[in-house]
Amino acid sequence: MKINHVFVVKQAVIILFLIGLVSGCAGPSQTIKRGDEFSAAGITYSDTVVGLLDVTIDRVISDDSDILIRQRKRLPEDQLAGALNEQDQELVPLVKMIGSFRDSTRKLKAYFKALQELSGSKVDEEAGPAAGELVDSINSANKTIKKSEKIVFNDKEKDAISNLASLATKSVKAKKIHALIERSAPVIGEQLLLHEKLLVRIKKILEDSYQIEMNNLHNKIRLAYVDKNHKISDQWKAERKTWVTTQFFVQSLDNSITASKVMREKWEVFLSGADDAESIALLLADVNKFLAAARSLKDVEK
Amino acid sequence: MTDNNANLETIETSIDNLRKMRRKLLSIDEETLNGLEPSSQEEWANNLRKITININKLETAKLRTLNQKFKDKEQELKDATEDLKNDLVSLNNAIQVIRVISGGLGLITNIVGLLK
Repeated sequence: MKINHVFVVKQAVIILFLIGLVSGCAGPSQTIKRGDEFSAAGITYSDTVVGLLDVTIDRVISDDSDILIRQRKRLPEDQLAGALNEQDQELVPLVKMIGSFRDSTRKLKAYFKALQELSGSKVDEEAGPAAGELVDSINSANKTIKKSEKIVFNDKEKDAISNLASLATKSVKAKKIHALIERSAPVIGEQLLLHEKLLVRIKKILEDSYQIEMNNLHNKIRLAYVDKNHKISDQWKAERKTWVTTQFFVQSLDNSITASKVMREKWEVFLSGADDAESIALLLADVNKFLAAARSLKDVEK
Repeated sequence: MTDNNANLETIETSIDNLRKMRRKLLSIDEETLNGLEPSSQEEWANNLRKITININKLETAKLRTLNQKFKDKEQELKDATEDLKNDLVSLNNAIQVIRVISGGLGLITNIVGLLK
């Protein structure tokens, strides 16, 4: 069959033009659906990060107390007050730092909820003030975290954040909401980038704590096994099973860092109006498994 | 890499090394500790306390502007923690672990103590 190349090219140009026209003029319902999906992912993500930070705060305090208790038996009585005081002084700022990160993540969740409400309702021109206040609050938290945590963005990261606002102009048409999204764009992008950096530190704290717990549990299992006077019970078997099956969970903490990167990409995709098929549910499921294991391991060890 | 990022990387490595040392001390079980001389038990507890305080001080150092005195010694801190971590890798005897840590911890604590 003979193909008329000019005809084919003309047809292709027309089809591409139509695709461009359709995607460039995404209707309100399409924008709303995208906003709804993105907000839902954001809420799930924020919930997991808050859970992760709850566990981190709990572990940091609990590990510090465990160390104090073990030391107490071996230190002379006249040194105990000084030892406690010294550890208290260094522990409080660390917990405060993690707490600020958790507070800003809660604000991020509230923002995603507000965005979801905006998406769920008829696109109301007056519906944005509450979300606007949240943006200001997150912006202020970003500044505090950047300053206190000495986080510096490189030029590429700075460019990526400042370009986000211009992406928003293409997607959302409703005037007030458009203004809100445009203002939110760099602020939320910056918050998610801060998450990426802070979660690397949180991961190290948790890895260390989890490793200590696993070592303690293994010690307990070993001591019970080598002591012939000790009757091996079903509990011993259950503890050994816990030790074997949970020791690789810590690797899933990498997923929390990946999830923050994916959220930032999703934010860009949402702003640009493109379709987004990527899911963070699977990544977060693994992190949640780790959180459940971290919570239960402490109980097993007792 | 900016100076700020370089500082944080050096601090992070030092914290990682100190955490490994702490895990080594914590892995000595109560029964083994009970069998040691009281002075060694006290030495174990003091090492544990100093390492924990150093870790938390370095973690929160990121909350503050690092002072020049500390910055001057930052690399020395990283090297000292690296050396001590490596010295401990093959040690399993509780007394040796405690003694080796005591030997290197003084310098590390002095440098971390420069943080204001």
